[in-house]
Amino acid sequence: MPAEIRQIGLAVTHQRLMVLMLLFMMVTAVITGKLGYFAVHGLMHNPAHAASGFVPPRADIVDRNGEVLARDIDAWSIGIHPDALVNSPEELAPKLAQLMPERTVAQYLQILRSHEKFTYLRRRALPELVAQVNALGEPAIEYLREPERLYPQTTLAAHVLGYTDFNGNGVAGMERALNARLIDPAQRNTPVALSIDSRVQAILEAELSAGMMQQRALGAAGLVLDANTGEVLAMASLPVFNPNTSGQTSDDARRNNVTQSVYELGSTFKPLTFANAIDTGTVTNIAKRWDATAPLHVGQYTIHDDEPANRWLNMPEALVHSSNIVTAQIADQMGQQKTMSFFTRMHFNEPPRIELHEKGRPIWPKYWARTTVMTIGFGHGMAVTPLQLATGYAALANGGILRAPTLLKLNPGEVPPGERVISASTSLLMRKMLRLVVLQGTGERANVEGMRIGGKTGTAEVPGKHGYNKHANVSTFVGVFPLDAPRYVVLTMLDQPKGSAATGGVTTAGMVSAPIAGRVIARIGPMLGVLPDMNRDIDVSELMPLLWHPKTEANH
Amino acid sequence: MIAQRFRSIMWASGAALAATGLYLVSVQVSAEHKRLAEINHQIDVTEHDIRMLDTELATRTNWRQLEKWNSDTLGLSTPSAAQFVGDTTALARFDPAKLKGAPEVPVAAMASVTEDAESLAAAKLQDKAQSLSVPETATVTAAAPDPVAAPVSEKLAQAQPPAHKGQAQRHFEGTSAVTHLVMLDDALREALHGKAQR
Repeated sequence: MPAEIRQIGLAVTHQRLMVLMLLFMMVTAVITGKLGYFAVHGLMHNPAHAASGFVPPRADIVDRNGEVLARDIDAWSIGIHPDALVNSPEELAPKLAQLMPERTVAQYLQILRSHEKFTYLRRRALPELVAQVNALGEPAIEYLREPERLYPQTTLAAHVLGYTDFNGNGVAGMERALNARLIDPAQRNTPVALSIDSRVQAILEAELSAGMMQQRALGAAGLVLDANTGEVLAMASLPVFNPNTSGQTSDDARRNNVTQSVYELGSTFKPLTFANAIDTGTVTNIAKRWDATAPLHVGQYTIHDDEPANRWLNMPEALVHSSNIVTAQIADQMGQQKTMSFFTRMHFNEPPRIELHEKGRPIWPKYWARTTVMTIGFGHGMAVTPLQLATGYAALANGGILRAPTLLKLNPGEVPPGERVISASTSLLMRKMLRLVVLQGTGERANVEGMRIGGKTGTAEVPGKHGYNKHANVSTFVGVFPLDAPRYVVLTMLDQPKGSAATGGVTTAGMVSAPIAGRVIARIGPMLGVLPDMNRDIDVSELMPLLWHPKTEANH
Repeated sequence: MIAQRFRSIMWASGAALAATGLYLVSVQVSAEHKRLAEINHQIDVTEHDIRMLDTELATRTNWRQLEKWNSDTLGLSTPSAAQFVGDTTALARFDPAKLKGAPEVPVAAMASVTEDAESLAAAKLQDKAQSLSVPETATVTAAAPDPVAAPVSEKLAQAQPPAHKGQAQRHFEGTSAVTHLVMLDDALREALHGKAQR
């Protein structure tokens, strides 16, 4: 019997020991499991967490050198809980109206008596104002930190950057075009690099602004474009606006004159027409002379030159003297089909191809009469954006490849695919002719020693209700530099300049826009690695004999 | 016998001790984890502060402001083509007096020593020493300062603007002869100085 009892006792003890052992095993398993979890979790989570750092609610926008152009900061907002008011509305309303005068006392009273749960009194408040409102001692007023989009460079590249609404959504410019990318949680830690160079942008804006003020022009536009890649280094539209206070800006100022406004850009079209005429075989010999002795009468229209040469001109002379009569004859000989086909390949029949949503639609002729073809040859009868013209000049200068312009920075060495619109040999010939225009023609005031600039002026009368206004011009200069190895296209345009004492009241592009381009190039060239060199230039010696000078002039 | 009876208890307490130890490790890991999270948070806050300060600095020194200072306050203008030199030879040949609009003042900014000039000066000093019948050793100690260097310093002092007078004089102390050379960079200046000292 006692043996049986001991047996049972032993069994119970074994059982208890087993339970105890299982318990210990479980505890050990739990701890080991947790250690394992820490090990794995630590490996997988910590490094990522350490690397993530601060993630802004909206990605920064920087220029091509990494300089910040748009960034989110923490701003103050002032709100109120009218249902939890401690002070009387009658007492509080006048004080609020005094500090924040955008609302009247009556409006504040209405808010304070509304018994709403919460309403904003001021978004984007300055810290000083927050301190003053806080000093009123009303517990129902709440102060919030909210992300606010700040543009540290204020008006710089405002039309490129655009702005956001109060909720942080892009409503204009690249803020709008890249909105999805900027708020994407996976990408917003990485800034978006634009192709803009803020140094170049600042210089372009400063010189354009000085020119616009001097000429009392209505507006201005400027562009610096990489001729080989299509990157936009600077895009300026005047008048400017401050994207930090976009709500207080007029529609006129918000308009991007480079991509939204379309203009008849006048004689700046001539080099394009000439290139097309050479490429299509219409002109096989540039030394051939064309009659410019008298204005050209076609139907009821008369085409005349602003500064008539009253003699026969060859192609380089026609460009140097900017002869409408010769260009019209060449365009006429080329015909409608070739002209239309060329400008279609140039994409002048559609809005500019760029990331921005603010684009203007060119005015493309509905009916191509004989006179239409002739006038389009010298830039009347078709209106395009300055961006499209500059893109066309890039193709004219870079060997003939047309590339869509872009506002996004490309990787070093990256060259987007393009379309051949002009042959390489014609491109070289046109570069030489553009150089002649700056050396001896209407673009002389754009010349800068050693910078090898070529370009063309264009002075177009502004169309009004009763035909063209003879006293209002759009004066444009498009330049390319350095012409021996083209890198940049610079466009400067003044809308309706009034003239100044310095220009003797003259408002032609050669007098008002070309000097601005010259000053811009002199300043940006060295920054962009194009140093003035007096010992280099494009060889124009073969064209020089084609330019005839009166004997008295030639003797000098 | 007693050991036999207590063996199971010892096993049990050993296992309990091990379990406690493991749990302590787990607690330690947890604490470290928390500290790491705090540090990460601090890094985030600091990064945020740096961004804010960066932004403030960028706002205060924006391009518009710099343009205004450059043109209105400092009166800077665009350098002309002639002010750019392509290589060191062109730099050495650069003469600011030939620039358009350069002020009509005598230019003798800096000087360099040539081997020829040095040997010429030494020969002159030797002649002088011989004429004075001073022993050769005394010529060496007396050679550096006086006769040749002094007039040059005076000439430079006249040519230089007052602000640079001291610098020019310091530079030519101990120099036995000079030739005109302009626009020396720091490295070149140091090399010349070393040579003069030698």
